[in-house]
Amino acid sequence: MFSVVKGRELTRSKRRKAAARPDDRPLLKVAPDEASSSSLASSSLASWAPWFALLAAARPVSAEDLWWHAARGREVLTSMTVSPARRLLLDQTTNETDWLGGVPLYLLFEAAGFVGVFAGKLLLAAALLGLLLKLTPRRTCLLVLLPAAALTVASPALLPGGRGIGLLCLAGLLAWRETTWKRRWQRSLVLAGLTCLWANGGPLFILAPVVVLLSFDDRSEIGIRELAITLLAGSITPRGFSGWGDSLRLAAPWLFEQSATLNDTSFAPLEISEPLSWLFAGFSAIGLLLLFGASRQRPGALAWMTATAAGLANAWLAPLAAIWLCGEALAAMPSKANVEPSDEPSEETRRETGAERGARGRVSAIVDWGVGGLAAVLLLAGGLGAIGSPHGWGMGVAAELEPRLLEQSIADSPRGAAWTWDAAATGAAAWCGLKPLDSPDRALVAGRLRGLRLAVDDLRYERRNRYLRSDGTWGGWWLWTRRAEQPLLWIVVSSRDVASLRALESTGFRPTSIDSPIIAHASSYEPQMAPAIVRLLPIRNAVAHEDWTYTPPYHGGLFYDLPHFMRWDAEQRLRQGRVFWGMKLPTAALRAITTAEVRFQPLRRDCYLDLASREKRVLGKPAIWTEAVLNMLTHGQPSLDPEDATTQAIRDAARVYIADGPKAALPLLMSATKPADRYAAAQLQLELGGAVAARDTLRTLVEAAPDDPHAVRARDALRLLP
Amino acid sequence: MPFASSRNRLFRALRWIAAMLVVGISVWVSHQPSRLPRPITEGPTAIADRNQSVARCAACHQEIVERMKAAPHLNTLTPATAPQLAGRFAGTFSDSERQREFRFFDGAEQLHVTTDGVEQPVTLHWVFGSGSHAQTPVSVQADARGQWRILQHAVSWYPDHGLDWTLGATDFGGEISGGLEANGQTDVEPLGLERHGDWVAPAETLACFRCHSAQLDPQRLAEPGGVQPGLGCIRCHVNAETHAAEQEGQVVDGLPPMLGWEVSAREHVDRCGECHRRADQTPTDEITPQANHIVRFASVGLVQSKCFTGSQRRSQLRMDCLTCHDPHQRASRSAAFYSAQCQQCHQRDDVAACPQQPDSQDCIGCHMQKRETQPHLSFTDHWIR
Repeated sequence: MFSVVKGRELTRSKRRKAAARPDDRPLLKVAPDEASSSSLASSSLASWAPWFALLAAARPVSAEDLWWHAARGREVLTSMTVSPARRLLLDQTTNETDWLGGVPLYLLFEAAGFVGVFAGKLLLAAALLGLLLKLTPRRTCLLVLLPAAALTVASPALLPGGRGIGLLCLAGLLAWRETTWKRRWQRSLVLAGLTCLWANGGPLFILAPVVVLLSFDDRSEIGIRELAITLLAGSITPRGFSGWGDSLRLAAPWLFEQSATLNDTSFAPLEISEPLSWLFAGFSAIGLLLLFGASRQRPGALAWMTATAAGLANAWLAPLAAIWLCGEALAAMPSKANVEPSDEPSEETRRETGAERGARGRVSAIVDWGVGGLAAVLLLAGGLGAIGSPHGWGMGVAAELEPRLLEQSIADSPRGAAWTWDAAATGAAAWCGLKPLDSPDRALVAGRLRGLRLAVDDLRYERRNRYLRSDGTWGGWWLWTRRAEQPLLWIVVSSRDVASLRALESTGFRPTSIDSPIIAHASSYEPQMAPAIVRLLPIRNAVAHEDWTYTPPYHGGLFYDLPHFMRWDAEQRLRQGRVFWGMKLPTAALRAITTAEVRFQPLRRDCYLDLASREKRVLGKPAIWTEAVLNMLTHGQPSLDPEDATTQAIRDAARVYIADGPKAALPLLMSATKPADRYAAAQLQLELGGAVAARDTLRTLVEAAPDDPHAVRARDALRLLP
Repeated sequence: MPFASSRNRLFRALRWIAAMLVVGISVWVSHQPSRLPRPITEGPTAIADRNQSVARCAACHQEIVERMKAAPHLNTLTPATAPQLAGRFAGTFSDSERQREFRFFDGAEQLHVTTDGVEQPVTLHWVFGSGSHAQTPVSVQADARGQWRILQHAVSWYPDHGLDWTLGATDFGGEISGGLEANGQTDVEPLGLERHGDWVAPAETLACFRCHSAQLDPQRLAEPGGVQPGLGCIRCHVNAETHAAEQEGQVVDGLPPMLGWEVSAREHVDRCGECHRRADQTPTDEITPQANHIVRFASVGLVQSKCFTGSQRRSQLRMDCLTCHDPHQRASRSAAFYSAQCQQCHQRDDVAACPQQPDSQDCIGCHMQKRETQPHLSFTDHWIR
């Protein structure tokens, strides 16, 4: 496709510069001996690049919009439509530009299932790597590490569809820019083809004219003509010229929406607390370092600024910005030709002393090693962050996007309108045949995101009924969901959205699964949904109030997917515990986290706060044991008042409980005889899965001390036990 | 050339400055803090004292404010410290059939209540209802997570009967053990504080206060200073502070304008329906002429009426809640008053007159009868038929 300058040939810009300013010299000249020693030049080193890139890309597909694109691709092929979102969503009213974005993904899935999707991701990473490496002929440590680091940052969008197509087209555009073309029409044709593909396949094609615009140079072959071609080619979509506005909304949502609307969505600005922001900031710093030592000052600086700003202001765009930064950095690297002595050195060069040349070489070496080191740190940080994380190394599709349990949970229920608000839930719902009201990207494009965001806020604050807001608009989520003029049968939520799970417990929508990564809640107002709801009731009761212990499911895993391979299941336990807590099953949540790991303690505190709330409603204050555990978790000591009613057994047991877990603490309480101690022992027995044992302990307590306040608590607890 | 060289350097510098500006502006704009709108009752301002708040309006609207003082809207929530409550509640209520007894007493200028099986007396914080139909005392308690819940007491005061069981009280402890009842455990024994009444979930608790107060701080529901009880001016005239400040000659730049009431008849009824219930959030299968319970929700019935739907089709006619009711004063008890309102339309040539008694002075006696929805509680049916 491209006739790329390779090896020792001069780059286009180098030739151009040489023709325009024969006496000019490269901005950074390196003495040949210094250059070779500083740049780690070696073809064997460069041959490691694919392996590093593979390592960076070898994580399960974690793009939230995976199933959304797959559903759109299926719709395009099965219904032969150019506006799949319109058919999939109840709210969608206009065509979308990127109607083809899901087709490759769907074809891959149809051909080889999850393996096909993962293979598509690897192929995409390989193609990206190939295009990026074409941007520079130099073989240095940067060449090995920089694209790999870029792939790490771009990982959330590495998908053979949607933004993934955008990644590929962006890298292709950068390679196009750095390529010398024999014929002008070839140049134009490739540019038009790339832009058209991007516009019809990926949502952020507004970046294409921006890249072209920032490549303008008064001596350049890129100018108004190329910009016009880009604008025209990008308009060949089902949305026509309006597509540019859609893409701008997606690329710079902060121009159109308040930050409060964007918070908690994929389009929020990068926050310091997110690991991705640190990776992105590090990557941006690499770009800056390279630009300072660049062989040419042209568009690089502006492009760096634009990419950095766009990525920082919109997390959804950060992966593309990373690839863009990588491309600009590689293109700005001093080329091998630059560091070689020219045949006819300039007067200035001839005057340059050996010491000055050596100094320049040292600067180059510092830049190389500095940038290489930073890229290595990024890779390492990305890799370490991946260990044990939901997006850790492995194959296939990330567990949190797994749609099969969702399919099972709704299998024998009617499909119909479903309210969703994040890309993962929307995609899974559409893939499983439900009819989502809206999707976040289409809502943003159509200006509906604020309404969606406010409705979600109303749900989380449990504001179901209509109420007047301070801005004169009407709030209340119930009527908002009913505007579709068909009964809302489902509310589908990602299991990590614990706040919404918890709020849904107070509504008429009941969960149909306790362990699906995407949980469908069925409407109890619709009689036909009853079987799906009723099926789960005994399961909910069993995990919280019967003899039961939690065993995390084994996902398999490979030797390099160490946490799964070694069955380090803390992350899985925590995830399930949070879901149970979200479903207002604090005892079940405690059963999922039975060890004393530090990462479990915040969830443990939340569970004990729930237990304390219930106890407080019965007798006006929490049980002594509950208070002791909460004191340990908050203040590091079981009792704030040495004179209070906390027994010595409870003081000791609470300390052991926090340090070593419930199993170690239970014997300390079993040997004690006071009602408070017995009540605490029963609580621990329940946590450890022994409902019958806990019941017996509580009955003994009620019989032994019927007038004690703990007997009242025991009778309250017994009402729930078998 | 030195000139060209310095010009290039200048361009380069300008380019960097421009680029830095791009980064700065985009990051600044995208990180601008903003707030989602909140319920009007949970304003960001401190909770104003009701008397002060109303007095500020009285400076210009004294006549309305005077009428308002006796209106049920302003008195729909009362702190349990109010002296007039002692006369209604102090005493004992016992039910021999259920073998339950509740003893109310005024201690330290606050109502308290005791019952068998609970050692400590329970402090009552608020009394809901103006007393036109009933008054129900509640306690509020923050749970361990800091969320407030109402303990809706099992005994209420009725104008005609004095103390009696609260309508709808489950006697099963409400939120805690109500679920057990739903699971088929009908012999659930109320324990501890559950013996006093029903616990209400945090969201419902806030919903109760939203319709019985003008402004509230969701973190301070037990304190009189955390709630401005009753529907004072600012409850319906949202952002009235801006209007008041304007009149007082203060600078109001940046303040939201006062919410106007120049709205359609349906929007008008829906605004009242925020508390009196909106028809569009009542399940359609519940809205039938036979359904007795929706009689309680005037705004639901009104929009089903032929009078209302007919007026919607004619631009020169309008019917909303204000046609018959002034929310600033107690509703009239005069049948003739309401008949006069009916005649405003039904004496027109283009509106059908009553075929039975076109000149009657008691239209509502036939067309809007009072119906008993629950023992002790009767409401006028606003589904005009």
